[in-house]
Amino acid sequence: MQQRLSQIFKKNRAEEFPDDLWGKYVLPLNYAQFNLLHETKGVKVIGGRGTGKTMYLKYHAYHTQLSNKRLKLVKNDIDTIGIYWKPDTHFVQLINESYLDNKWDAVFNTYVALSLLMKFSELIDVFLESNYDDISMKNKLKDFMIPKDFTEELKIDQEIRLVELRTKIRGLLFKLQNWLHNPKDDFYFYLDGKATIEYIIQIWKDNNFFKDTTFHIFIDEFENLREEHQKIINTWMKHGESPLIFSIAYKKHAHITDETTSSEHTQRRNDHRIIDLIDDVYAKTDDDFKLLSAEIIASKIQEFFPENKIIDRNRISVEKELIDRKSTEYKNRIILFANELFPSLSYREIANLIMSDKTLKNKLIKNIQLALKTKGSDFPASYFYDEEFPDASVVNATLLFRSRILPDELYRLFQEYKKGVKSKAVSAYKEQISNTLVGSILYIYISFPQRICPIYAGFERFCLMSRNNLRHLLELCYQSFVEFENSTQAKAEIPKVNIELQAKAAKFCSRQELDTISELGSYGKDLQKIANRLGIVFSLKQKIKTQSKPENIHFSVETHALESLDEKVNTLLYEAKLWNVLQEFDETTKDSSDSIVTKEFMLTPILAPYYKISMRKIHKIVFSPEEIKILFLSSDAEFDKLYKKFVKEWKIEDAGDLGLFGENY
Amino acid sequence: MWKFKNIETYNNPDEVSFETDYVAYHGDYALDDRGRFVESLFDQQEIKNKVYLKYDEMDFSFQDKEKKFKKNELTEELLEKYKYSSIIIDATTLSFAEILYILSDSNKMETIQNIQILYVEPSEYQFLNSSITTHDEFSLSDKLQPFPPLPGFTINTELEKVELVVFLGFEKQRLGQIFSTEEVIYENFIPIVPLPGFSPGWENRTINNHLKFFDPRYSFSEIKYVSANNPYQSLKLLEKIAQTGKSFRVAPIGTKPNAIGCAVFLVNNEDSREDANYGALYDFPVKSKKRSTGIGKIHVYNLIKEIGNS
Repeated sequence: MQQRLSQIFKKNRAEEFPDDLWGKYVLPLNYAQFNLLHETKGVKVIGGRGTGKTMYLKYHAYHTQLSNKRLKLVKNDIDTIGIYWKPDTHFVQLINESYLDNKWDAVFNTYVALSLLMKFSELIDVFLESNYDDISMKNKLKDFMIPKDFTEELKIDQEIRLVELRTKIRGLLFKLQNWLHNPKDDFYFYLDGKATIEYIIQIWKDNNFFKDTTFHIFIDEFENLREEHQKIINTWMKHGESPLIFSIAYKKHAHITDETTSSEHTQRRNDHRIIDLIDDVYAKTDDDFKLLSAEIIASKIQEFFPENKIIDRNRISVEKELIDRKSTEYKNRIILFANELFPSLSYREIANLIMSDKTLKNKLIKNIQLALKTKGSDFPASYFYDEEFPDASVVNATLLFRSRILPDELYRLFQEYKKGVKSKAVSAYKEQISNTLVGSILYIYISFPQRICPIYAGFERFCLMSRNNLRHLLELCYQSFVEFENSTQAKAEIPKVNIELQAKAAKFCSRQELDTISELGSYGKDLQKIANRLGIVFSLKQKIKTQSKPENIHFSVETHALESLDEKVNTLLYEAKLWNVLQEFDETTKDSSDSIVTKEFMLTPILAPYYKISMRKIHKIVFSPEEIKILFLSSDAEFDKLYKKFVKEWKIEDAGDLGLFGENY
Repeated sequence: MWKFKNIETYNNPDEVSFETDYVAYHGDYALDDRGRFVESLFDQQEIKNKVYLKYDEMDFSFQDKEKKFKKNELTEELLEKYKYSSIIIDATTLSFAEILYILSDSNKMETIQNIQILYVEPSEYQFLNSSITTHDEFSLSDKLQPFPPLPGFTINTELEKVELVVFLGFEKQRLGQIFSTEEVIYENFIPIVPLPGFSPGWENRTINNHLKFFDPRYSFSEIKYVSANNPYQSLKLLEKIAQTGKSFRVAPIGTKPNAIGCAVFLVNNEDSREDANYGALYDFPVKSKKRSTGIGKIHVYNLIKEIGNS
C-alpha cells in the first residue's frame, strides 16, 4: 500500500477536492427537503467556517451532477443545471466607486457576465463528456456556431463555435484585468451581468438545446463581495425565475446587505428561503450529525480499502438511496463501524481506570482524606471507595467536599447503594453520580499535566468536540491516524485506534485550533486571546473541589441587551461567532430564576482537551458586563485581577500562577 | 525597467551622503528611533524637497501634506512637479505600497533616471513573545486588513491556477491570514526565509513560527532563502521563480529590503502577458509604535533605469 490511510483524511477543505464530488459527497439523510435543484427561486445558504458549505453547493453544480461516474443521464437529470461560481474576492474588491468612479457598475456587470460565461462554456465541455443519452443533441452542440449577434456583444469579430467560446472569454477576462490596472478611459465594451446570461440561454433554447432546463447559479462567499456588489446580485436574485435563478452562500452571522439596487429589500419570507446548513441540513439533531460523520468516515475508509464492504460509495451521493439509508439497521451498522474504528471508554470505565492506576487512585484517596480532614471526620478514606463501584468512588471524593454532605450520611448511602437498596435517597445519590461523574473524572486528571484524560477519545466524543464542524471532525480522524501510523507497523487491515493515541491526537488538534484562531479575520489575535482567557476561566472552574455546577464550556452575560455592552465587545463577539470561535445559542437552561440573559455562547468544543475541560454544554458561567469587558478587552494585568477574584470566589487552592500558564495546558 | 547599480552600506551615519537637490519621499517619522534618524539625516544633508506621502489602501488614494489624490494621479499630482533626474525614497518610513507606486510611476516617466532607496536597520526589534498568554496588550488598531487589492498589481485567479510566493517575517498571523481568509488554493506555495537575517539566528525564529505551513496541505514544496537586507537578491530570486513560466502572487510580508526587491520585480514585469501574470498581496499592518529601537546599519540601494528588456 503506497498511500497512508491518514492522507485520505488530510484534505478537509472543499477547495482541495475536485469539482466532481459524485461518490464523495455524502447526502445528509433529510436531504430531500434541501435539494437546491428543486428550488424555483433563489435561496440563501448559510454555514460557519468548516461546516461544508462549498461541498454542498458543489454537489449541486454540473461537475458533480453531470459527472461521468454517473453511467446514464436522461432528460430529467438536466431539468435544472447548477452552476457554482466563487468570485476571486481579492480581485473583485478593485471594482468600486472610489477607484472607478461611476464606471464601477458597468465594470462589475461585465466582470460577472464574463466570469459566468466562462462557467457556462465549461458546462458545455462537461456536458459533452457526460453520459447524457441524447447523442444527437451532443453532436449538434459540438458543431454549434454562436450567432453573430452574440459575439458582436463581446466584440469578437469572427464566427466561433460554442466549444471555442471558453478560450475567447478567458482572453476577455484577462483584458479586463489588465484594463483595471489603469482604467483611465472606458473599457472597450460593457455587458449586463444577468441579461448576457439570459441571452446565451435563449440562444440555446432557440436552437433546441437545454429546452426545458433551468439554470441555477450558486454564488459562494457572498460576504466577501463589497456591499454595492451584493446589492446588484440581490436584485438579480429577487427577479430570478426559470430559466435563470441566482442563489448565494455566506458565512453564518456575516453582515451582508439585503438591499437591492432599487429601494426594495429582499424579504425572507416572500423572496428567499434561508437554508442553515447546520441547523437545517447536517445537524438538525446530534444524532443526524453523528450519522453523517460516521458515513463520511466510512466512505473514506472504503476508498482506502476498496475490497471491504463498509459502505456503498455508489449510493451515498444518490438521492433515491436515502430511503434505504434511513433504516435503523443501516444506521446502527455504520455507527458501530465508526465506534470500532475509534473506540471509547464509558465514563464508568474511565472511573475504573482511575481505580486501577496507582497514581490516579492515590490522588483520589488523598482527596477523600483531605475532605474528611476538613470536616473533622475520623472515618478512614477506604469507607468511600470500592474497586467494584468505581463511578460512585470517584464521585464520593467530590461530594465529600460539599458543605451539606455529612461523611456518615454519605457512608451510609454508599453502603445502601452497593447493596442495591431501592430508596428515594439512593435514587438521588445515583443521579448525583451521573451528574458529577465527568466533572469528577476531569478533576482527578487536571492535577496531572502530562496525562490526557480518555474522555477525549472515541468516535462519539469526536462528534461532540467537533460539534457540527466537519473540518474539525476530519482533522481529529486525520491526527488519530497519524498517531496510529507512527506507533504501529502498517497493516493492510482496517485499524482500531487505541484510546491513548486518540486522546493524544485530540489534544494536538485542540492546540492547533487555538493556534489557528490568531489567523482568523482582522481580529484573529484578539479572538485567540479571548478564547484563551475563557479556556483559562473554564479550566479554573473545573478545579472547584465540590464540582458544583460542573462541566463549563459556555457562558452568558448578565444583561438585558447584548447591544448595550461596549461596542468593541460587540465587534469581537461578532467576529468570534463569524469564525466559529464561539457558538451562539438561545438560552436554554436557567440556572437561577431571575435570570435575564437571552443568549449563550459556547467556546468551540475542539478546545476542550487543551484546557482539560468538558466538551459538553452542561452548566454555564454567567459573567457580569464588567467581567466580559475585562475578558474581551482589558490588559493581562486586569485579567489577572479577575482571575484572582474567581480563585477566591470559587475557593480554589491549587490554582497555580496565571503568569506560568501558557504551556502548562 | 529598474536595475540595481550598487548597494552602499554604512555603519556610521556620518558617512551617508545624498545629492542635495533631490526630492526625498518619506512616511511618518514618528514611528520609532529610525524614523527620527531619517528626519535628522535629511535635515543634515539639507535636502531641499522632502515630501510626506501616504497611500490609503481602502480608497486607493494618496495623501501628501496638503491634499488627497487618486492613486492614478500620482505622476501628475506629485512626481512631475519635481524636475530632477534622481529621487530618494525612504523605505524605512514608507510602506511597500508607496515604494511600489513611486517605482512604477517613475518607471514610466522620462525625467527620472536614478533612484536612491534609503533603508535603516533597527539595532533591536521589540520581540513580542509569541506564546498566547503573553502577547502584547489588546489594541483594536493593531488589526490586520484582509489583504486589500493593489491596483495595477492585482490578478484574477479565476483565469488560471497561480502560485503563492511569500517573503516571510516573524509574525505567522500574516501568512496564516492568507490561507484562512482567502479561499484560494494556490498551486504551489514558495516561502522565502531571510538568511542571513538582520541578526544571526533570526532565521530560526522565522522558520519556527511558520513550521506548520511547511506542509503539503498548504501546497508547500521547498523553502528558499534570501539575505534579509538585500533587495537585489530578492529581485533575482523572483526572476528565477518567474522563469518556470507560472503565474504567481507574491506577498512581501517579510523584511523591507525584501519588499523593495519584490516591488522592483513587479514594476519591471508590469506589462503582464496572458501566460505570465504577477500580482501582489499585502496586508497593510497597522504598526504599533516603538516596534524597534536604535539605529543599525544604513543601506542605500541605487537603482538606475534601463531601457528595454534584459
